[in-house]
Amino acid sequence: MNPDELRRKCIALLVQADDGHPGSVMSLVEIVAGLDPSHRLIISEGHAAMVVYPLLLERGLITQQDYDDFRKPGALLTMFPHKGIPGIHVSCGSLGNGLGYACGMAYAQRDQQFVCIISEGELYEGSTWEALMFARHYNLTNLRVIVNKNDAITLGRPQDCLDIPWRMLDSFANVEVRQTVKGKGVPAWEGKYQSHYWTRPDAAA
Amino acid sequence: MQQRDAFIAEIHRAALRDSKIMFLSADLGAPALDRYREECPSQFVHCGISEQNMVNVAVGMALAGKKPYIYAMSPFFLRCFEQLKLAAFHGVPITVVSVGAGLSYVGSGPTHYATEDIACYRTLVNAELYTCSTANQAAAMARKSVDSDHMQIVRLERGELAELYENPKVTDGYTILERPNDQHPYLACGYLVHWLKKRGYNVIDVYRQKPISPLLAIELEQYDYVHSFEEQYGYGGFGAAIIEALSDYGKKTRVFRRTLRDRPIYENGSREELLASAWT
Repeated sequence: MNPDELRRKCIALLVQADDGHPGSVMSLVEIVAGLDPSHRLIISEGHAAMVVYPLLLERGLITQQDYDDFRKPGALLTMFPHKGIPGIHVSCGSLGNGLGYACGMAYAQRDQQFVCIISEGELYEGSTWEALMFARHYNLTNLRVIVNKNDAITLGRPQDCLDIPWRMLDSFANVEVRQTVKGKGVPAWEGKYQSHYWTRPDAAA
Repeated sequence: MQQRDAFIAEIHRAALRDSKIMFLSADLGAPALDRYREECPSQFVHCGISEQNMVNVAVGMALAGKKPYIYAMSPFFLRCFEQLKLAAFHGVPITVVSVGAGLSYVGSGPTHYATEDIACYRTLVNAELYTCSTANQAAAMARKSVDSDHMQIVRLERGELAELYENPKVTDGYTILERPNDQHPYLACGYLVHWLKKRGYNVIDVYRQKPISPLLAIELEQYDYVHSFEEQYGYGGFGAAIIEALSDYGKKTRVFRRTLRDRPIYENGSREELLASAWT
């Protein structure tokens, strides 16, 4: 699926639910659209992981009905994806835990490629660094870590809240920092840290 | 033999047959673990002093088809309580091997005492909670854990304690020790089973704290009151679990609880001396 199509579908899902975390979801579109489908994906920032729902439908892992019922009572698809959904390997939502799960999977299945996306906000969590050290020590070359750097946490830009020492990441192989744009593609959301929480896309930009 | 060595020796035996078994340590050792590491190096993972990541790695491994055991000192499993909560949600067969129940690490002070963990663990969904009183009970628990398909939390005592059982059962949830008199029973787990037995009380070893067996509630129904002793603070601990079970099963038996007073324990002294001043 190309990024534009994925972006349109994510906007539609968010609008249908009239809820969600648009800033983070839209910032992940290009990364997720460009991944190799044979790699197992763990999105640690669970609030943004619904970005994969259009891909799950495209790959036939969920039904059109499941997709259309997103966030309806009793429906399969939730705002934070959980492992009961086909194609979702682990439930995430609490920041700083997904990379550890990915490490355990990659350690146990060395012949499978894994991709773990974490948000820059997760670099504040000590557990993220514990996991990075684990991946480095056990040489988990089958685990690629992508840091979604969209220059926003809930209360503003990280550098205005508590600066992140990015150079500390230089010690870890297989970690790439991807510059992204919070809320990309929708003027009411784009570049705004406030779009972490729900605002309608037709709100004044 | 210490409980941890009895437990690990059983896991060692199982691991030689079952390559799915993985033993993860947050930098805690044991003589039996040295032997395990020697003979099953590919089934041992040193996780560093990183309890949170150890739990998450175990979840990942379990989701990939492994059977992980995670091993650390009891007080430090509270650091990763949220990770344990998330692990429990995943419904995966992880066994928490927690060494140093209650005041086991006597002399180290409140940072090293596990005096709140029963209350915490009892809230975890789809998880069972055990505290072992003897080494052979710990070995039986280890054998049971190998076949479990969901989370088991096993609290082990540090140091050597006498054996109490010829053939310890770990499926009923409690064991009634030989009754030296006709007095009302005293309920406890772990080290306190020995403490009470030494003093001549009728002891029931309630080695499973979650779930409390309905059969225990029925057993206690005949008494107008029983006693519970614990090395936990009173809120949500061992005695609280007994009270809840009695209430839930509609029993009128009262429970007189001996719990830790609501303050940290900094004093020097033996475990018995600490208890004498720390208990309510």
